[in-house]
Amino acid sequence: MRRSIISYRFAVTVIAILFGTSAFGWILTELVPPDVPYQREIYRARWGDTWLWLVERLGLHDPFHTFWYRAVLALFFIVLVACLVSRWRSIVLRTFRSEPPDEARELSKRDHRLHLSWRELKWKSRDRRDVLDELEYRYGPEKRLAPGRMDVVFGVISSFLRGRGFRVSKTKEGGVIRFVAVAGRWRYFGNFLFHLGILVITVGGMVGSFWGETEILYGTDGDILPLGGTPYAILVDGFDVIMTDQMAVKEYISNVSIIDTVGNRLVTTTIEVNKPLRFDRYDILQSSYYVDEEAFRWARVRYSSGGNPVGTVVRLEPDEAFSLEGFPLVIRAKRFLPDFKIGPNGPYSETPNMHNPAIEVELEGEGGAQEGWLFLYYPRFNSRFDLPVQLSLVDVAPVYFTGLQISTNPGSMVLLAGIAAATIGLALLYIFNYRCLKGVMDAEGLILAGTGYRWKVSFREEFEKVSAGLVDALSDLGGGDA
Amino acid sequence: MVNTADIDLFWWSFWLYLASFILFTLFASLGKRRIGVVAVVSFAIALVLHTAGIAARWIISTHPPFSTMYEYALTMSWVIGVAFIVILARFRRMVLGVVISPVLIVVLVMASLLPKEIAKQLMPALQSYWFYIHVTLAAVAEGAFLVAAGGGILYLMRGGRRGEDDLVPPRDFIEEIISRSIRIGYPLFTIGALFAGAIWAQRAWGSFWSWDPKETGSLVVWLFYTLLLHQDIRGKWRGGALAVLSIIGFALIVISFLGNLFFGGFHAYI
Repeated sequence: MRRSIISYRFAVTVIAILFGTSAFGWILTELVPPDVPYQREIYRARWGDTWLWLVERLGLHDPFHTFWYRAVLALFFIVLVACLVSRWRSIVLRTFRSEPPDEARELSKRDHRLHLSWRELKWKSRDRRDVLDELEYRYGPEKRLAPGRMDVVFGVISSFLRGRGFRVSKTKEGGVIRFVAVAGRWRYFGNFLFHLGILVITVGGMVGSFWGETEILYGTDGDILPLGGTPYAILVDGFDVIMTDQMAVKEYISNVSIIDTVGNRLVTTTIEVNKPLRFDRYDILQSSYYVDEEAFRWARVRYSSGGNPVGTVVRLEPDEAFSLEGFPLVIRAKRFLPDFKIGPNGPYSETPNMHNPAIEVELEGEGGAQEGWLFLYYPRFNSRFDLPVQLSLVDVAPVYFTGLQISTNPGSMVLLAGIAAATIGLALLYIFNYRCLKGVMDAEGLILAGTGYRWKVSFREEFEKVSAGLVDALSDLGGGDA
Repeated sequence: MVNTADIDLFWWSFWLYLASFILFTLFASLGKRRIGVVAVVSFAIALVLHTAGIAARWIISTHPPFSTMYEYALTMSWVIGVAFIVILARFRRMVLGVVISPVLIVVLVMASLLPKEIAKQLMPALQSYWFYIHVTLAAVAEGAFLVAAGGGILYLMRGGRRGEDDLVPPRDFIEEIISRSIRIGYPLFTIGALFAGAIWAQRAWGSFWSWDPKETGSLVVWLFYTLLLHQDIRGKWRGGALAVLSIIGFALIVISFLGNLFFGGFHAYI
């Protein structure tokens, strides 16, 4: 059982299951409507009673918060822990220590091999003498490399491999030198760090999922909003929506203060989208806003007569009566709609956004009262009054409600630590290309074998170059002295 | 709508990519090197115009052009173009153009169908340096995955013929292109699409992860390539299987990319 859980095959199976269930949930979020009013009726009308039962039992309207998806996530977590616990020692040690081969037979399993007999190796000098002949010439009449000579030859091999970025270590026993040369060994540490990072991210995510809280509170100028379970509160000092010339929303900003129980301002700042305020253990974010669909603060209206384009601008507050200078008329702003539409029951606001702001005004004179609508963006649709005065809406200040999201996530630092670890791990994995050469050398010759774990073709080319370079380097051994 | 300079450059580059694809196909079928050279030149000019188009859009919009699906597709296809030139410079295999150029054209066709209006003002949620990190890395990563898909198509086209012929590279070479592309794309996708996206989401939306359809799509793509890499380490799913799976990965990326149009959610930027 234990061996099954830590096996590669099981890990791959769990990743496959997680992939399958995630893909299934991804599709389901589109096929099954989420939690909406009259949900059961919608499901029943769409699929009938059997499917309704299935959707409800399996929570298919919210697949990523169901027991079955959480079970798969838990399984993934267990496998990740099991793999790391069982392998961390060997993975980390592999970064710092490389084991030379036990015997030459081990090398036969490797992808690429070089077999070199000292008898076959020729010097670069013109007479192209046999290595052993050369060694005999230099060190005495011996048929095989003596242990002392072997160190000289290995010194050349080691120096050559180090020059190519390999880290070489050896053991010598009974006239046999076993060595290993590795490059890009930090890749193993990167692998470990990446998996550890994913594990930590999972832990952070679970902590946040179980103990994190989030809520959105709406308020307008002067409102005091509670800050979670703390004795502090958020005082909304103001809220502003900044628009571009093309009437696109450029930014929306809340001016807020954190106050204590007696109203002392502890912090006064602005909160924008992407610029949250961190206070105590809470993040306070600018989430959204809406416009009060009936109320407004003031409206500025221009009135003129006889086609005079300048006219006079008057500032009207809700239901405030204002006498128009030069006219026997009183104007009153009665109603405001941020997104004017005409419905079966008359004008209404389609959305709480300033898409088509309009105010309803009442003009009262000797002949009675007349009502009509003035539009901020589309003045050509302004109501026409049977009076010698033209009106247009210059500006209107709606009552905005800022939406502040208050969230706390005790797992956030854990999660960020996991992201940092996994990112460093990925960088190491990306930068370092692990290659390993193992060799056994004795008095007769050398066997060198190598494996590239990343790029097969490139490693094959590299191994061929290393082999050729090694032969050259060994040929150079006596060339200068000959 | 009056076309701005970037749109003109987009169409010029599109037609030149198309011409290069036709020329690459002729090269592959006739085996005449001169046609291949003309195809490469055509592709290179198209890439220059493509780059100029992105630069022009950047200048006109006054912000890096990654904020709409059209701009994202433009960047993703540009990565494919650059990757092809790099592969060509490294391995000198013009025949790869037969598969890389149509993958690029598919992405450009998707781009051509999307709204191309320039929004000078980024919406408040996008006004963050994380936006550039997140989108750029994700686009580069997905571009690399699409190159892998191109390699997968070439691998399957090569069929069972063994050894090396004049034009089509050997299978292990193509397999290495696929493998390299995936191994380049994977860390970039993980860091860019998932990690940077999660950190940004925490700052903008107050939560690292919201199971938004686009987030889930990215998770599905990530799990798919995670699976692929683990199987590769085990010595499984190599050769033809890797080729087929790299093409399936391409399909997942396209679904995830176009998911905006019908899944909605926080990432509903068109």
